[in-house]
Amino acid sequence: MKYRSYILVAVVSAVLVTLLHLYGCNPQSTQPLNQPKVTTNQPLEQEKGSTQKANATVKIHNFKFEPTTLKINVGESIKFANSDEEPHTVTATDGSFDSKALDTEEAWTHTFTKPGAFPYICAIHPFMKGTVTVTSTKGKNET
Amino acid sequence: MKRRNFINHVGWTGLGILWAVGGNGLLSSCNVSETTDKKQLNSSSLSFVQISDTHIGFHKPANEHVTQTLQKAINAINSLPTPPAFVVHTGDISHLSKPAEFDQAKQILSQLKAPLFTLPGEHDTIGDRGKAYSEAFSQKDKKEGLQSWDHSGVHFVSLTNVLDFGETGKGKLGQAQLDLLAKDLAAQKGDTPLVVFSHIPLYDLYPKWGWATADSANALSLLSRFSSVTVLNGHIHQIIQHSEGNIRFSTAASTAYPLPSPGNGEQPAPVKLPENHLLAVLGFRTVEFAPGHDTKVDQHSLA
Repeated sequence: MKYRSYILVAVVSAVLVTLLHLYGCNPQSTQPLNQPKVTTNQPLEQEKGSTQKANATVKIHNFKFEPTTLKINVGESIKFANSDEEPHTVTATDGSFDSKALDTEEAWTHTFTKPGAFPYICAIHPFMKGTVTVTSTKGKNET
Repeated sequence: MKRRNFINHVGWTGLGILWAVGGNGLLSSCNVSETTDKKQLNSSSLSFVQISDTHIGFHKPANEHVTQTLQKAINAINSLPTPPAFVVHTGDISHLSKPAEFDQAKQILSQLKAPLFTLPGEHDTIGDRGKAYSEAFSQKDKKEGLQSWDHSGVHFVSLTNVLDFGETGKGKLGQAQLDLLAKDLAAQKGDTPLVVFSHIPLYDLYPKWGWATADSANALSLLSRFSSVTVLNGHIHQIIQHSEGNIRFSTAASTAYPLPSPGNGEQPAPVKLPENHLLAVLGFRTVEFAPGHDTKVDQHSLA
């Protein structure tokens, strides 16, 4: 009889231990979340923070800068418009420009005054990358 | 006789774990350090709390009431049966680094009965390299983003890895901070239990989403000579555990909203859950060091 109760305790415990193990006690495993499909974002309705007219637009959508690479001439400006639900930034890796946080449906326009290639990231999601290449206008002495 | 003893032993071990978990809405109970139990810690019992990713200022459908969920966590921490020695916030206090968000977060966090330590997440340093953050949360005890302190025989180090980013979008500690870490750890004995905090994980959890630190290997090599190291991170908004040698890593739940598990979906965007499901994945955790026992980490959900 005693054995039987010991075995009962052992079996119940083993089940509990196994359950607990599945719920996060395995140091090598991840705990997947019930993840619903990521909803698509609404189109830009309002754009705050942009007063100038831009020569080109970079859309920030689904954690990507579109287009990722863009060529413009010196003195021209680009509007960066965020249509994601998440905030993003447009931050030059050399520190030469930084949009601060662009929340959903906010935009930021920047005028590029120097020629060169300007890689940038989102400082909140730094795996998001883009490059603006600024070329000197025809006949000017810049390279 | 032997069989009987074995069954008895297995049985009571199971019940012991059940007891440890049965408390108040704990998700799980894990021994993060198997090595500390071999030595008696020359210290009294210590308990502290980690809270993370409060994202004050977030108001999207994934959680339109982030101040309320933070408040719920604070209330639960304040009524823990064992009052924590301190609370550590592992970053993303605010959502957009706005002074008003820091003010509001500070007001709510100031209700904590225990002293609060903070470190910044990338949401706290947007556009100003943490200026607004450091105006709200004093940085006077930090050098190069590092702060360390001792409590009950345990050495604590808090690191900053959100100000610069590696080539592939990983977090970065920077050489100046690593040098300071080397200096700080040089003064510690190898059997001193270490607890290290940073926002972004200090290992390659999921580099594609930037869930990694570019120069973490340098930090880990400094930690490798210690017999018990616990690394607690935020940023991931879910509990993920990992170990390398004597180093145990664990990311924390958020009090604001969950993120998808690594690679689940196209991007690390907030996951929308029904409210009762949401509260179950939000929370904080307690970490307990008791002399002669394993380090005990308990997850407390807000459900």
